[in-house]
Amino acid sequence: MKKYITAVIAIIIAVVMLGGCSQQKTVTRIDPSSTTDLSGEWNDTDSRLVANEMIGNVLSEPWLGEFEVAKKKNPTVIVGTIKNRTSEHIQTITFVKDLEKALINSGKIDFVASKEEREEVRDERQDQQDNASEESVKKFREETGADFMLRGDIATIIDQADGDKVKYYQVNLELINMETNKKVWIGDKKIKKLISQSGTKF
Amino acid sequence: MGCSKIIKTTLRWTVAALSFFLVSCAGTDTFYRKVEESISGQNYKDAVEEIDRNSDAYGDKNSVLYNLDKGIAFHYGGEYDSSIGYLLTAERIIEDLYTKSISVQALSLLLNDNILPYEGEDFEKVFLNVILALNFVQKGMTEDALVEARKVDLKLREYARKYEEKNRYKEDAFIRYIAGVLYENDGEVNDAFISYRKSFESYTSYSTEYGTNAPSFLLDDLVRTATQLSFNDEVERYLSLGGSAYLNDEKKRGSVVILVYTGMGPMKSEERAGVSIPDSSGTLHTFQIALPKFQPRYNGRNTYEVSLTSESDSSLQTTEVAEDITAIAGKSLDDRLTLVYLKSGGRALLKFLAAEKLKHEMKKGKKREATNLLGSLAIDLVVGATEKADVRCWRLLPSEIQIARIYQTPGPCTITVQNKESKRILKSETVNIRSGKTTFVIVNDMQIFNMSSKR
Repeated sequence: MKKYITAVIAIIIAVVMLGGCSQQKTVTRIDPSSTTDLSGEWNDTDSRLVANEMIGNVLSEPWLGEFEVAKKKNPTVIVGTIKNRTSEHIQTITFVKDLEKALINSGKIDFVASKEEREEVRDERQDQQDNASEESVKKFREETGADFMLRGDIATIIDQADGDKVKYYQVNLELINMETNKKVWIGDKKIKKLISQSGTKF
Repeated sequence: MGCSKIIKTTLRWTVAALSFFLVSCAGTDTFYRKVEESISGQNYKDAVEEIDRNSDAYGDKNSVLYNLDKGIAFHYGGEYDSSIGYLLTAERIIEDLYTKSISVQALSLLLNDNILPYEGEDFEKVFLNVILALNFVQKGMTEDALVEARKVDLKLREYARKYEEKNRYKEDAFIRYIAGVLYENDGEVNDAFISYRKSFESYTSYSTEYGTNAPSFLLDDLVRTATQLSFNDEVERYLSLGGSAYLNDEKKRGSVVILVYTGMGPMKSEERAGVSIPDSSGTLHTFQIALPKFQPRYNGRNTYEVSLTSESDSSLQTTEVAEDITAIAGKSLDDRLTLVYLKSGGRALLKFLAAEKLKHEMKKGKKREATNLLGSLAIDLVVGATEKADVRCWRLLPSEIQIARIYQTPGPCTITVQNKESKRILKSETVNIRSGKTTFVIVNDMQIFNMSSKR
C-alpha cells in the first residue's frame, strides 16, 4: 500500500516536470466568416457583426430617402475617426474598413476616400501631371466632397471578480451632415461577453 | 516503517529539488549587476544583449520576468515598438498564470514559492501598463496610451476587491495625471479634468502612504480645465487651494512634460523569522520562516532643474517626485505578505510535522544515540534549508519618477535637464512646442548607489 503512495507521489512529480514539454502547435484553416472567441477581447467577429448591423440600421432610416428626394442622387459619405475608449488595443482601422465595405455593398451610398487615402491619391495625381500621357492625365479640383460623415467610438464597461469578467461593449455611431453639422442619425450596438478563467488546473 | 519511507522519499526529493534551485539561482545577482551597470551607464543595447545571453537562466518559471526585463530595457533605450511587444507578452503570460496548477502549488507548500512560476507583484503588474502607456505616448499613440491607463484602473480595482479594500495601493496618481495630460492633448477637456481631479485626490493618500505630494502644478491644471468647462465652483475650490488663475490668452501656449527616472528600483532580500513549535514531549523546536522584503537602492536625494529656452521666452522648473516606486513596492508587498505569511506559517508547520515523524521513526529503529541526534539535526537542517523566500522581482524599474511641466509660447526651444546635486547635464535637445499641445521628454538617471556605505 505504502509503495503505491510513493509511486503516486513520484508520478505526480514526474507529470509536473513533464507538463511543460507537452505543448504542441497545430494549425487549422477556418472560414473567415466563422465565429471564433479565444481571449474574449474585441475581435474580427465583433467588428464584422457590428458593422453589418449598424450599417443596415443607418440605411433604413428616413434621412437617406429625404436626401435622395431633395438632391436626386445618392449621398456621399466618408467614415471619420472611430475612437477607441476601451481598455484594450482595438485596431479601429479594421472596423472602419468593415463599415466602409457594408456601406459600399449596400449600393445606396457613394463613398469618398479617407483623408490619408486622398493624400496618397493626390500625390499620385501630382505625379501624373509630369509623367502620364496627356489623354490619361487626371485633373485637379474634380474631387467629390462628402455630404455626410460617419464617426463614433467604442467604449467598454468591465465588471470582474475572481476569474469571471463581464465585458460590455457599446459602439456609438453618428452621421453628421457636413453642410449643416446636423446629426441625422445616431445609433448604437451593444455586445456583452462573459469570460471565465478557471482558478486552478492540475 | 513504510510511512517513514514516504517521508524519507519526500525529503530526498526535497533535497534534490533544493540543490537544483540553488544551482539555477546561482549567478543571478552577478547577471543583474551587469544589466544594471549597463542601464546606469545608459548602454541600453548592452543591457538587452546581457538579458538575451542569459535568457536560458530565466527558465520557464520566470518568463514573465524575462519579458518585463527586456521590455523595460528596450523602453530605456527608446526602442518603443520592441518594448511594447515584450511587455504585452508579459501581460498575456500573467493573465494565463491566473490559472494556478494545484500540483505545483502543493509542492510549493512543501518546499517554497521559488518553484512557482513568477507572476509579478501587484504593483509590478500595474507598472507594466504604466511603462506601456509611456511607450505609446512616445510613439504619439494617444488612444493606446489611454487604453493602458484604463487597464491600470481595472487592475487596481480588482486588487482592492481581492484585498477587501484593505490594501494601500488602490489608485495610481501618476498614471491618472498622465491620462489627464493625454486627454487634454486630444481636446477632451472634460475627461482631462476628471483625470486631473482623480490624480489630485489620489495624491492625498500618496502623501500619507508614501510621502509623495501632488506636483505643485496640478492645481493649475485643475483650474485651467475647470475654467474651460465653466465649472465655476471647482475653479473657486482649486484657486483657494493654491492654483493660479487661468487666462484665456494662455490657450495658445504649449507645454512640455519632463519625466526623470531616478535611481535603481528596490530589490527583494530574504528576512528570516523563527517560529517555535513544542513537540509532544514539550521540547521547543524552532523553525525558520523566510519572507521576502524590499530593500531600497536609492538614497532619494536627487532633484533636477529643467530649463526651456527659446528666442523669446525662457523658464526654469525643479522636478518633483510624482511616483515613488520604492515606497509603493514596500507597502504593496507588505499588504500581500499578510496572505503569504499565513501560507509560510502553514509550510513551517507542515515541514515540522514531517520532520518530527521521521525523527520518531528513527528512534524506534534502535540505532545509536549519537547517530540519532545527528540524524535529527540533519532533518532540521534540511527543513530549514528548503525554507527560502521568493526574492524574485522586477528590479530594473526606476526608484522614482520625477516630473516637471513647463508652458511656453509655440516654436522650437532648447530643453536642458540637469541633476541639481551632481550638476551633470542629462539632456540638452531641441523640442518643438506646439500650440495647445504637450510634448513628452523622458530622461534617465538611474545611478547605482552603494546603500550599505550610506548607513
